[in-house]
Amino acid sequence: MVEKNNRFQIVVHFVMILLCVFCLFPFLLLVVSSFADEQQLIRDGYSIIPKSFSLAAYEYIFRNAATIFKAYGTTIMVTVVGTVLNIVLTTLLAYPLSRKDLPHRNAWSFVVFFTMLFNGGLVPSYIMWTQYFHIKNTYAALIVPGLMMGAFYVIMMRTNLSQNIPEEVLEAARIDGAGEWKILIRIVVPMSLPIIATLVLLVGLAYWNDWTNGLYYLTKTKYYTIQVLLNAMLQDLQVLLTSSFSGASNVDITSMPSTSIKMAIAVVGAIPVLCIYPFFQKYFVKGITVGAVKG
Amino acid sequence: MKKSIFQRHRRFIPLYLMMVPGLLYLFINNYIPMAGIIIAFKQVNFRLGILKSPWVKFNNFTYLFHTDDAWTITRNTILYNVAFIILGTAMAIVIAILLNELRSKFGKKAYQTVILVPYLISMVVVSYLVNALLATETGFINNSIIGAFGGDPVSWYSTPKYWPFILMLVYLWKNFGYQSIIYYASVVGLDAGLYEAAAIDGATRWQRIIHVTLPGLKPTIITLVLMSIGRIFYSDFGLFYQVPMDSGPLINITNTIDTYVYRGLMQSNNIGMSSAAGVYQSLVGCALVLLANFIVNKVSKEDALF
Amino acid sequence: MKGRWKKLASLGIAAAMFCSVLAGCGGDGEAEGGNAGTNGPDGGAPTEDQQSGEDNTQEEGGGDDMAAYFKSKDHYTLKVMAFGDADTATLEKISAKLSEITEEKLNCDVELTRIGFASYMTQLNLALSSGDELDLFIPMASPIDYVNAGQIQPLDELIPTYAPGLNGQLEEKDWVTQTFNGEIYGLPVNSEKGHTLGFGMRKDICDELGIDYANLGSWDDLHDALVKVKEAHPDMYPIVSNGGAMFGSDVQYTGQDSCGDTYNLAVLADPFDANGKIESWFTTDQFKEVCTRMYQWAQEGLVMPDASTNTDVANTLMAAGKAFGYFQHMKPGWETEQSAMNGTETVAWRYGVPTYTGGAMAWFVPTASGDPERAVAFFDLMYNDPVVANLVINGIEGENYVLDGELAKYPDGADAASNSYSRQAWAWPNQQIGYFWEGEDTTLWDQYAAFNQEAKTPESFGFTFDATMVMNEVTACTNVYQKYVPALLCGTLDPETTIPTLNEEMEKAGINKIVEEKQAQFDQWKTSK
Repeated sequence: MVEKNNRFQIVVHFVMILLCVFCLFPFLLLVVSSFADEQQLIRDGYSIIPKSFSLAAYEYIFRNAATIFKAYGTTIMVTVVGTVLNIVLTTLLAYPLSRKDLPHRNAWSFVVFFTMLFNGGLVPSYIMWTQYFHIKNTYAALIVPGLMMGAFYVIMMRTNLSQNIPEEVLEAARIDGAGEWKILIRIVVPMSLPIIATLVLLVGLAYWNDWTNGLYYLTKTKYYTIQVLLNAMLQDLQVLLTSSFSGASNVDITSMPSTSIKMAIAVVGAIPVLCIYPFFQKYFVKGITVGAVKG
Repeated sequence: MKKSIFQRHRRFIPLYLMMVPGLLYLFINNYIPMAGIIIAFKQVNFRLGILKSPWVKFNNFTYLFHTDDAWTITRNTILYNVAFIILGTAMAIVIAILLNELRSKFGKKAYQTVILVPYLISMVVVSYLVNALLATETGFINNSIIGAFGGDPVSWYSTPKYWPFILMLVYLWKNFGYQSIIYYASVVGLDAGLYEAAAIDGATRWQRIIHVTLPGLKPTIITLVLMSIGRIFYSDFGLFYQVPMDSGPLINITNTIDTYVYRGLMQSNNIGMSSAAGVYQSLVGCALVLLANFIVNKVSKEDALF
Repeated sequence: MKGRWKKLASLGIAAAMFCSVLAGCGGDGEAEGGNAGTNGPDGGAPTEDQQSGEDNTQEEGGGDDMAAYFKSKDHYTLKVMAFGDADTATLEKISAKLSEITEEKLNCDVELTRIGFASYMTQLNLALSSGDELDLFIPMASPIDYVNAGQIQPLDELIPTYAPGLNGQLEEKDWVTQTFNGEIYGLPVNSEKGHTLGFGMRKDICDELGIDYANLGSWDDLHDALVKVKEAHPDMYPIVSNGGAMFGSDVQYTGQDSCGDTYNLAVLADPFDANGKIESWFTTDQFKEVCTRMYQWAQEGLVMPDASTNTDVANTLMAAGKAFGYFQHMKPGWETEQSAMNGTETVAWRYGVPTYTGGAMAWFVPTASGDPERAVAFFDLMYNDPVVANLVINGIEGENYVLDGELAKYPDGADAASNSYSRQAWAWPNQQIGYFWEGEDTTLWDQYAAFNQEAKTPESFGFTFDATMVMNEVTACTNVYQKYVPALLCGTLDPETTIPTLNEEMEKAGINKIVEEKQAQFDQWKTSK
């Protein structure tokens, strides 16, 4: 039995390692090319074994180091604040929806879900947020529109809560005289740490990766997050090449990012998350196991 | 009568209060702008304002059904999405279960981190990476793999037959880690007592997975699949436009509703026609979700979305 | 079930409330538009008189009157938007300096916003569609769509009064391309007013192989030259595409006149034929000839593989020593400009007829502008006042550039990529009154003038095509276009088999309807001319 189990473990490791190679190989190509000499890259093509070494791409990105670090700071602030707000709003909405005795529960769920199906398009949202809430060129522009809560997270959490929190537990608490708020904070939240931890991860990544809010609501570079900044660098050329813009041939494109810089941009955007993630994961796994034990 | 309604609802008041901030946000962020759907039925003239612009009935929609392409783009959009839903979900569940069965703590951590890497890379960069692999002369595959075995270089960007697989591979590569982690959280959250009971009953690992884990995952699976069905007429623009490098010979196999609309309108920036496309996509998604939810409701009521 | 409908009803209320949002936007625009109409004439009356005598001293006088007129109006902050990257701090500094000048002349402040190319289109479209406060901008797309959507306003009445300097300098011909539906919308920038077709190539290799680049007489000559290059330098692509496009980056020209739109579907095959008929570009002999030539050359290995999916611009490939040459639209000074970008001396063979197209770029005033008068007046200032022009083009002296005698250059240790105010001189109203930069040809403006003089005016000059009636066909045809045309022009597809398929699909997509509609509009325009 034990031997069989070990064999199984080995097979699982093998499969997972294979998958990791699948995931990492293109990333490796990315990292190697970001350190390659641009001209050599164009001449000989990509390879996994570096044929040349150059820091030019990173020098290009970090020539305005102050701007980059400010943008990192903004990203971290936005991610933390946004994630906290999102989780609070999501939990507050998902918990009542998970209660099977809530009147018109399905109708409320539909009201939430419906927002995933239809949207009025960008222009009405833009008018709404800029003319009535005046968020253009503020940090709120990076936090509030679109991301602060979404039907996807609410419904995931609702499904998870209604499955993992037995009604008897809630009933018992009620008999003890606990109010709904107390039940939520003292019982539901601790019991749903796994899903909360997962959502923190998903929402945090969504905030970290987001550049669209910056694209729509920011015109001042001092508010840029790292992704807005990197994305602007990345897409400048793309936009010029595809626009029906008669002046495009006048633009001096040599100051725009070349291939190795584009690769370096991707590395600069992803590396911090990869560095933070293992630390976060300690809490993630802890949250998951704590919840599991209590459940 | 009034009093009885009040009494009936009274114990739920705290619950309603909890819902207020979230619903208010949805109302502002989603519901109010939804009135913008009227743009799809207008010939918008900003001098008159959106409301006073002339109505044009369904004129903004006709271009979506104008040619034979209408069939191609609908077919492509749906088939790719169905494949993504099935393969993506299956793969994510398998990985989640494998991660859960793993005993090594370090392994769990390391694998989870690594499979999330692709999710952090934007589609634009992915398109460069794919190009790094597939470019005819400088690409890694032609250069280092096919070249090493003495094969003839393949002109990937002008050979449509490979692309359904390439697109699926890219999609899975980018998304499976993220989805696996969602399912993994559900697996871990399952009642440990059930596993113990199964162990006492002498269930094998396989039996345990079939009889405990999968049924436990059912609500999550249904929720996630229903949510993807709602988006079945949408497609990831980056995946279908940037990854194939907008290559002409591939268009029949890579054209989806989103890319068709983009290619058709990129020079004219017609807000009425582009929102018409959005309304069309939403309506179909909505109808399909209602249908799917209706079926789920019949089969197992407690798992229905609403 | 009942509950669900109740909740659905609440959606209805949401939608109703939202109307106020939309109405707000539309209403604003309308109110401002009306404002402009009533204010303009009465206040502007005295300066209009001044304007009738079109000489410079009068304009000076006009300026004083204008200053007095603007003094009598409320103070205002003029919002100006242009593309190109710039740091917030630098923009604030430049805006402050501009405001010092405009405070005195126009009784207003200027708030300059610049946005990188990646976001410019999105942000501009959002601003124009939402009624954001914006008074003056330069577009990155064809203005006809802004006109049709009512996003920009006609300036006929404002230009003589508030842009006297500009009005005095431009000829009748310059306004033609800025006129849509009979009204002037655009404020043209001072630039070259035409282009010719050409093939640019590396001078060192031409010299090495004895290629007489200045006197290539025909396509056969070019072919021979390319074959020589291929033999001598097998690692080098004789022809590369520019980010996937073979003949020009936005609209691909091979000599046809796409007259009045950027779709490039229905064209005049010969731009100078007075009796020319509009036809589908893809059925013309010219198109077939070009595709056949490119296919043949590609078969001989003279064109880079994957040319139509290439994501590198030609300049990058040139700089990496991977390319010998590329096709592009030519203007005076092209060689100097491109040599700098390519890092290697570049020469060109010009083969097309220099064609007069009118000004390439123009600035516009949005419908929602709170003060179109000042917007036009500020454009005039940028056009005529060297101090203002240098501020908006080059930024702050000592920070963004330093002067070396008459010539400007980057401060020590700085370059284009690190500049906090990116330089796009050609996009600003009048680069010709700004400083020359180191390495630039100081006779360039004379060359421009000569070129503008010499360029031949095509028959369709001044015609714009309104595609509103055939948008269904245009979207369908554009999709077919993307499927075949870029690859055909790069020589990737065999024209013998592909062009018939292309034309079959184009016909199904409705190209004939576009041709008919365009011909009708063209005829009407001709008779009204």
